[in-house]
Amino acid sequence: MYIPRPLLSSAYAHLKAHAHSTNPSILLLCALDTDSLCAARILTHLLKQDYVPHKIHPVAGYRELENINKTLIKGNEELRFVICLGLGGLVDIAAFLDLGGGGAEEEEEGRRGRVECWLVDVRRPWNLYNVFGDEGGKAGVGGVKCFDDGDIEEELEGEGVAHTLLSYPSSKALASSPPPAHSHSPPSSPSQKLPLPPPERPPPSAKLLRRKLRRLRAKHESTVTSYYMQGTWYGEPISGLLYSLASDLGREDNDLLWLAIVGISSGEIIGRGIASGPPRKAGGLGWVGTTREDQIRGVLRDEVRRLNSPEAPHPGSSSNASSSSSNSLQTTARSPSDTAIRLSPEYRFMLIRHWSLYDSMLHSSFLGTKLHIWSESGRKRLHKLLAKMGFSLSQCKQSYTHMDMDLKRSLRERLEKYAPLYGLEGVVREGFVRCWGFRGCLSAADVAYVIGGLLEMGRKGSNSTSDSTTTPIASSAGKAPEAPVDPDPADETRKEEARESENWIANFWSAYDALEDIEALKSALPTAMDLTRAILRTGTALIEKRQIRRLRAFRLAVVKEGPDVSTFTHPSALSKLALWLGEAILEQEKEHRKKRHLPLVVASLNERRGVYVVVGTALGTRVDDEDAELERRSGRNKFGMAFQEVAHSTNARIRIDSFEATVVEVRKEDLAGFLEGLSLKSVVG
Amino acid sequence: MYGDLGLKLVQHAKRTQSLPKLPPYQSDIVRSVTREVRDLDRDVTEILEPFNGHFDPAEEPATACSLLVRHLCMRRNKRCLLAYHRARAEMIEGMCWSGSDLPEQAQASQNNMAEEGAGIALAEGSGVSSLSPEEEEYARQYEDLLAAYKGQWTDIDLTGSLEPPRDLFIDVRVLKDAGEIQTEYGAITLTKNSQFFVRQGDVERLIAQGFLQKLN
Repeated sequence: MYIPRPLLSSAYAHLKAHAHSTNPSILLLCALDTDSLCAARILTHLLKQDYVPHKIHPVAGYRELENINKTLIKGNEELRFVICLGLGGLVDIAAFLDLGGGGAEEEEEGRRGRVECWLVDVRRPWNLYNVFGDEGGKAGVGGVKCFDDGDIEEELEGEGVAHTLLSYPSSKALASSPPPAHSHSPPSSPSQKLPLPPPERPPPSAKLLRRKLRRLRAKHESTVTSYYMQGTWYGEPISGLLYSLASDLGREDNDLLWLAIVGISSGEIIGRGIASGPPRKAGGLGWVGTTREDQIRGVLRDEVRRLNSPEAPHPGSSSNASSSSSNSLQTTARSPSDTAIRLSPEYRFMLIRHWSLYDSMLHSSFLGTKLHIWSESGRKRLHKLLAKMGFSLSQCKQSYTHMDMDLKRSLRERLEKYAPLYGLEGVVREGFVRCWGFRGCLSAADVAYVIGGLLEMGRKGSNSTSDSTTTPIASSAGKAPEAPVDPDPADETRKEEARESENWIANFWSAYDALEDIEALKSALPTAMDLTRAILRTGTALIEKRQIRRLRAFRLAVVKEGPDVSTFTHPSALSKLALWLGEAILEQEKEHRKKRHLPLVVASLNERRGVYVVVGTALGTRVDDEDAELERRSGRNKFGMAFQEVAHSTNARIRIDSFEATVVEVRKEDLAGFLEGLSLKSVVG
Repeated sequence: MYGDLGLKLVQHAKRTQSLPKLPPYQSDIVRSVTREVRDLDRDVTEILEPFNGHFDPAEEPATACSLLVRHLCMRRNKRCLLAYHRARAEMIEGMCWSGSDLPEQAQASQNNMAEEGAGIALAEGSGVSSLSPEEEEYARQYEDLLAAYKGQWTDIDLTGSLEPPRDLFIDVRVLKDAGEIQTEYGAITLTKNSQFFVRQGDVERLIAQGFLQKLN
């Protein structure tokens, strides 16, 4: 079942009432991305304030989820709630996790209750089994409950009816339908809980009735199938969803708001445009915008204004300062205890407060792709833009804090004046800045970049130590080819996988800590810069060498050499690269006045394990032409399904482990076959 | 030079005080220092031999001076040895009070030594068996004493932390797989790489043993 937005707080009260007060009976499973991280932080804040013991466990992929099911959920007497943050929305979670409790003690159920599973996920489409299955647990604890950001309530009515009728024998004749073909489960997963094959019921006498029923069934089936066939897309960021839970409870404060802002900004960075539809009609939001994204931003803006008192004009001193700061970016706090969040103009180049203007512009994906920064002429164009604005290069290459005050003050004005000449409309928008006393000032987008960098690359220091621990392994791997009688190659790769996910989880914790520790955040700034440098470098190399091949149904880029190969073994780093490339291609094609854009597939070699990580992105999310509805649909990514189909139809060794449906791992040798299979899928086009 | 080794030992002792763990016992230096003392003692007896017990310092100031220097050296060495051992003993006592399982570690390493021969045990257990056999004995007996002392008041944990807890619940992160532990109200499964928000009292022991890390 699902929990509609207005009822989130009562769901929380239900959780509080049923959770064990002294023993961790709540298990938070958290996916490894910034949004989920922020959501986990928000939720744990709430739980801590209520003294509800809980446990957080990061989860890297479906395989690990199974492990956790085995070790932590199955037969765990204490467990009452499993809360999945940023995972599980695409699959039938009840098939993955043993929510029934201990096992055979069905009769005890009334006493002990079952495990209740909350799904809080941005990924769409919802698996309808999660949303509409199992209505029985309404009274007590138990069952699967999805947090609804409004999608289900507003848009899934028809699908809901169809699904219930198809899979539950309440209306008996319809019960005999098989589920839609595209149950979004990875092939490695335990078999999906499919409804039993049609029990041959004695036909009702009238032939006509039967035909009518059959037609009805076909109609419902097509409703459900078409819902799944749309591809995958994203709903509202879950940190925003949990923030609205907090504000329903009346517990919102600046810290939680900041977490929500960071979570939402991170979604924009990694291209999770909130493509799920027009602005919400109603509900608690009460803010009218043109798109859903605007709407969310509007709500955040209101919250910031509400929770942070407007600048109290200090007598005398600050009138001058505040007028200047409204023009230039804020880089220092007003007072040592100033931890307020403020609205501030934000340029679409990252980390400007901590970098130089030039670097920041150069590495920005927005600017870089529009100016064709990968080519020599593109760089010249950037120089020309700066020249027109009257910014000398030597000034721009200084760190921003040391730039001339005059330039800083006039940056926004001049940028807005000259940007349209280069098609850079919208380079300045409203953003959020937070200060931590005199210790530092970071904008939300910057924090999102840094946290993303930490998640993908890890902390510098820990990286070097992990390198030193892995070097003996690497050297042994280097030895292995000499003595090809490797004891068990499968074992070796499994070990390698375990090490990788171990690393990721270590990164998760350092990101988790950094989220509330300004010093750690500041020290991780170089990591984020390294990542953006790597993206620019690799992207430039790919375009310059014309390594992006155009196939019939999609474009293909393969990263298998260069200094940054190891960076892009992380799927979300690769997604960022794909996004950059996608925008670049889009710009190029726009110049050639092409209407239809092919989607992009980016593969990156993970040498240690001998696999390619493949990411599919749909282009054209930002093309603003034609029908809005059409555009919305085109923003949905169909690679998830295509990958599944290819996995079924070819015998390439493929692993779909990531919670992201559009990320897949293919064995090195099987990449060609996989791509061949993929190009045959018309879905992609 | 006389006293060099003694100085080294004292420096070790000084460094030990600021280390979190007890470094290995410097049996080599200790042995050399005692040998030095013995040598000095022999020298003194040799010098005094010709006088047959009738030595008058006023008559032979030179001999008297050399005797004095040797005597002072011996005394200094003794003080150095005492200081070194005292520092270590204090540290061992502190470990007993803080509840780190030091005798068990020492025992384990001793078993290793018995089974596999001294050479291997030294190689692999050099970090672990930092106690000399006498120190181990001392630690064990001190533990016994402590246990007997604690046994008088069963309702107070004398070795518990002296700092009053700030919060009833704390955040802990699991560093090592600790399996399932039983608490007052039920079992908790501690798996690596997860974070808990639990009652402080339940996990205090595990934090001390290094299974968990307390956050903030």
